[in-house]
Amino acid sequence: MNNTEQSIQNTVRFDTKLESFNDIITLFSDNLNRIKESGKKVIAKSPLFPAEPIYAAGGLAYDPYLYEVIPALIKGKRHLIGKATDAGLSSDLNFCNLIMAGAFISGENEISVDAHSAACGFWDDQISNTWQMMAEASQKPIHFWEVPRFDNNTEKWAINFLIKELEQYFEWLTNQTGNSITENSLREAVRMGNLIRQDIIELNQLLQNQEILFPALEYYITQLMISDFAQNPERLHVAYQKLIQELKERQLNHSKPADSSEKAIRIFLTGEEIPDIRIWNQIEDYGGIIVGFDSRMSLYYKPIKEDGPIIENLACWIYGMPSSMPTAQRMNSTISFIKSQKPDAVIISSIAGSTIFPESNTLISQIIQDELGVPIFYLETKFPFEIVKPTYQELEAFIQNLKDGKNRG
Amino acid sequence: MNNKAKDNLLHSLNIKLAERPQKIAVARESGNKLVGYFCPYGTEEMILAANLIPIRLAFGGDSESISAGEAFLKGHSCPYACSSIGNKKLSINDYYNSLDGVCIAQTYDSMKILGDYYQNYFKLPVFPLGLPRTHNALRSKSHAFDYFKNELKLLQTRLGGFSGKTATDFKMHQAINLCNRIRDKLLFLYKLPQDRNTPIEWRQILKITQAGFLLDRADYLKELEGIEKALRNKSSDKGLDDKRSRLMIVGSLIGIGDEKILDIIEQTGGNIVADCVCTGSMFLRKKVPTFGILSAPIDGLTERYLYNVPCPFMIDKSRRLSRIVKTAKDYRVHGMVYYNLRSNETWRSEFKAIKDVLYRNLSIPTLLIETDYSSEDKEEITEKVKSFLKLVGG
Ligand code: SF4
Repeated sequence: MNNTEQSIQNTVRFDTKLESFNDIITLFSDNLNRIKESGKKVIAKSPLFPAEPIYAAGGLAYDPYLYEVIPALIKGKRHLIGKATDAGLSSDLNFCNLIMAGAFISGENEISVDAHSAACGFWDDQISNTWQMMAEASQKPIHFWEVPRFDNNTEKWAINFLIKELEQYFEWLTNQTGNSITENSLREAVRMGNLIRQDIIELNQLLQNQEILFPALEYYITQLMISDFAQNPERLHVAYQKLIQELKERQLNHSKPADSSEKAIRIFLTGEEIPDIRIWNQIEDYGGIIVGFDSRMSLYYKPIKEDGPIIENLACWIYGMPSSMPTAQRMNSTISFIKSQKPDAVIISSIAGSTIFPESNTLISQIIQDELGVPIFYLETKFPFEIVKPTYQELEAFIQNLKDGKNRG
Repeated sequence: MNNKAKDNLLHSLNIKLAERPQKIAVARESGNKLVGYFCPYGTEEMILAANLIPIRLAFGGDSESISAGEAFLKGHSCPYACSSIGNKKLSINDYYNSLDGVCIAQTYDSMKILGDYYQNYFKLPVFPLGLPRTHNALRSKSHAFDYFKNELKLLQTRLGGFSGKTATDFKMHQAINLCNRIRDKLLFLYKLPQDRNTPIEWRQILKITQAGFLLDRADYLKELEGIEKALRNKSSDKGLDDKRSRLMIVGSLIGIGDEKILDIIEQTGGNIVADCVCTGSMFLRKKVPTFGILSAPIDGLTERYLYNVPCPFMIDKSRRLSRIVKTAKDYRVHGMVYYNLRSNETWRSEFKAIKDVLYRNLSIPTLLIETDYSSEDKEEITEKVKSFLKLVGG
């Protein structure tokens, strides 16, 4: 293990007083046992599409972008990048995609999956390239389904297309799991998924409060887990409820983590995930608090309609996911969320090697400026983390400046 | 063909090219509008049928335009995408300066983002075209056809609204016939280098193809007819003595002005005879089917654009791979140069599959060149190509 990885493990700090988070982190870390015990088929899924169809087919959804990458970074498995590039992926790709692919290509994946499914749409091309390679290398079946571009004038045929895509996806899932997806099983999966969505929406609402309740790292991990419902939607919902309860109690008791301050700078993070998880503690150490992050917001932008034709409801909901929209429309649909979190500043986050988010940054920052008029900081995470640019010092200076301004004001 | 003969062959075409910006200016003054497109999936027949002037904005090779584009995209974005924004920003290219709108097929990520910037920064009307990417050669997704057909219909309506002149079925038939005939003529040219005695080399044919992105389509067809006539019954001045390595170039778009790799190959003694690039012959293969004047032209367009040999942003690679192998075989190539513009992941991710299939089937080696439009790596690439040519022989 090199210095970086050691320092990730040693320097990451959790809020030990937040007891209910234990259940969340357990769900995050004990999935191997849970999956083994269940005896169900594991279907890997790409990050930004709903997990409901997999559960409706009696399978377990698994998001390797989350569960392969974070542990690999912590365990220092940087050789996985080499495995991915040896197999033919370009070293210029987003390093998280390379790590995820490298894990499957080398057979070092944390969880053995039975099949892969990925959605393609108005987002990163790298998803399709990486997933294709991953499935080929691990000789597992793969299914791609497609989300058409969002446009107010194309809704009718785009949704028809999406329904047909979903039907074919369901058929494929049935073949993988041996269970057919029925109207009822899908409705039940959607009902469960909506409960989890409501939980995340409520958690975000709690962050609108001026006080720091929910530390950044815990918030980050919690909201990422909506991607696959932690292989156990019921347990995740219970854990979220417990967490919400504890945070509400904190709010009532005005109890805050020891190092929080009244003058903390409220920061909203928009864009891509930050694989260097130390950053969340750092932001707090510099005097910031995280009031929202939208990397998985498309998965909970609103609940899926439960009454009426369920497959059509699901298709309509997928079609309206902000991640399927061109930048300006996407920002228009997320800006109200950002505003509701009342940030003093926005950090736009991207991962080196990604395209769709970093390439839209100029436009994103202009929209944020026009709509919120708050200072913006660009954070690009590179790998190894030592060469993160801009540097931690610059981030500290950015937050310090804002604090000085707030103190003066 | 010696240099003088080459010049004569393209003399008239070059004059037309030189006059083109002025002609466009006159046409625009009298109310015609110019609609640019970047990717061949942009369906130029639609633009023509709406009485608009189609221009394929396939300019490359200029590092100044990349720098200008990086202010919008990012330092390590695809150079073509960067320069497609930079050229507009810099206002030094007549065609970009004359744009009234752009049609953007939703292919790879940077291409989609181009639309965002054209609309929001340059305030130009953008006509997006959704394009399914998960359909396959077995046509197991009939809904992809319906979806794309509806997208084309919407484009037809939007372009008609923009020009004020409806793209009727009759006008679509005319545009389809014109473009099909152009494709026929170009395919005739691209077939010539299969023969060692070819009267024209691939690089010249590429130049002719690129001229077609800019010229009035009817004028261009006349030029192609003239070129074809001049070439019939002619043969190479090198003939069977030509000992240069026969190469196929595959990969990213080779834009107008992107000469670096072509110069290097020529100067080191390589001879490109075939390609699979979308500014070359890759996309010419399939004509728009016309089933008589009463048929719906939109069906023909849907068929052609959806089921042509696909660019790698489409997921099913089987037809792409077999097409490349067949071309390499038909042209008896000795080696393949895989030209990958830096950060163009669409092509980069397919490199290994293409390299392996070519080697497995025909024992043909591949050289990967990853570059951009700067001249900094010229020497390094030259050395790589030299060694490769030694390996493949002639
Ligand atoms: S390489 Fe593919 S996506 Fe790019 S312009 Fe050519 S056909 Fe379009």
